Amino acid sequence: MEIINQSRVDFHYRLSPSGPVICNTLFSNIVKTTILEKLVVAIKKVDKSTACIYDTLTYTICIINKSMYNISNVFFQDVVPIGEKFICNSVKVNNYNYKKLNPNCGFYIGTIKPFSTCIILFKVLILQHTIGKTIKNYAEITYDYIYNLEKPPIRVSIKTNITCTTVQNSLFKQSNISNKFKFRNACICFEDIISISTRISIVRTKILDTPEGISLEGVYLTGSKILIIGTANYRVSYFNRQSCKKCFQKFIGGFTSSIIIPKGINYTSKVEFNISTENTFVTPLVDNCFKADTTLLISLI
Amino acid sequence: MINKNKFFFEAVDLVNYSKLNCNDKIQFFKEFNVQGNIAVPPNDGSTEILHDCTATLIINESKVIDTIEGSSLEGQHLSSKKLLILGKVKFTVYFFIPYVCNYIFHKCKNVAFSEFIIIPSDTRDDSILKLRYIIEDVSSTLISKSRLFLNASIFIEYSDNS
Repeated sequence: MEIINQSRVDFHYRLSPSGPVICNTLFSNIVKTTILEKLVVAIKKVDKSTACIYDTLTYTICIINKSMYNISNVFFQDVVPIGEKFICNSVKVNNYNYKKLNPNCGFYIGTIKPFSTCIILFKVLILQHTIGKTIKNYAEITYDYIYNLEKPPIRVSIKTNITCTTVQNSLFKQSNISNKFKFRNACICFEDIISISTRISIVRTKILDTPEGISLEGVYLTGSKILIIGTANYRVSYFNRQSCKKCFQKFIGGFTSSIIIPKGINYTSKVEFNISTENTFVTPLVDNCFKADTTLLISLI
Repeated sequence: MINKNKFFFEAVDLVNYSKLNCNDKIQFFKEFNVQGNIAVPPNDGSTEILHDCTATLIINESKVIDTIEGSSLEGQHLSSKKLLILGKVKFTVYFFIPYVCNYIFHKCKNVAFSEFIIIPSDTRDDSILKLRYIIEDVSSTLISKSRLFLNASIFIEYSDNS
């Protein structure tokens, strides 16, 4: 709708005191105000309010035509925020899968009929280095608005509500690794050990498929897990009583650990870890053997 | 205690497992890794593993034991019964030594394990226990010049409808 306004000034005057009264009217310029009626309402939803890295989020955008007119040339755009990656071929418009559409670039969805709804759905992957952050997102819809039938339509843009997803740190594993070792010098006893330092390194990782389900014990299997194969390099400092010197000996042991991960990890090629060695202690065994127990915290970042 | 002939176990692969369980929810299972070390001939670090090592699961004994009932803060739930599984994984490693041509060596290593699965509280001690397992992955990694580290990722499920 367009509101047109113009002022009118009526006045009269005499050219001379004895002359006739002249009446005149002046009109001001015309000002036009286009009133946009809220013909379209757009609502955006996300399926997870809290998620973890490598999780997939499904965004659903519902565009409702509240008017009795066709809404034409509807253009949809949703720029995926930093920390998320659009999953190709995941766009669905009214339950129909469109393989080449990308919400980052935007796409036309045509005309929305009166009192009907268009539902757009797409998936994104949460990337690494987003732990603790809240990912906010909204979509923008542009459409033709006819305010005067005799004039060309104007383009109107509306924004949806903002959705929020908090990325939690839930991909970690606490594991204990235990390795036996023996000193070359048979005279070394437990009292001679001064300190032990551990260096953990990852040799290889593998993403494995698993069944899906929740056990009675409370273990949740998503269908994917990451297997981490690594080595623990121990450096044991000890006091050599024969030479009265501080010596050291190195040992190496292997370990494996697995972390249940979201299936979305298949969409990424790079997985980064953070390994912290929380504690290492040595226990004496029989036959001059020792056992080194290390507590590790492995987390995906 | 349930003796060896009172349990039945079968190996399945993941594809067949998914087909078998397409409608059922799995509830009574355990996932674990079995690790071992094997000495291979030191050959300046050039011992070459021709074939990924293979692993075979052997379950020696399985019995239903009583436990407490409750849930831990960590999220572990105990139902008052658990199934203890004692067994071993037999790793077979195939390797090639460069100065011995045209011959593939193999070496075996048995690694014992014991795991438990939380099962329904009404499980009878004298019933036949049906177990299914999947060897999800077998990996071998040379961690030093003469030590090969072996790992098998195993999934075992107790079937309640036996």
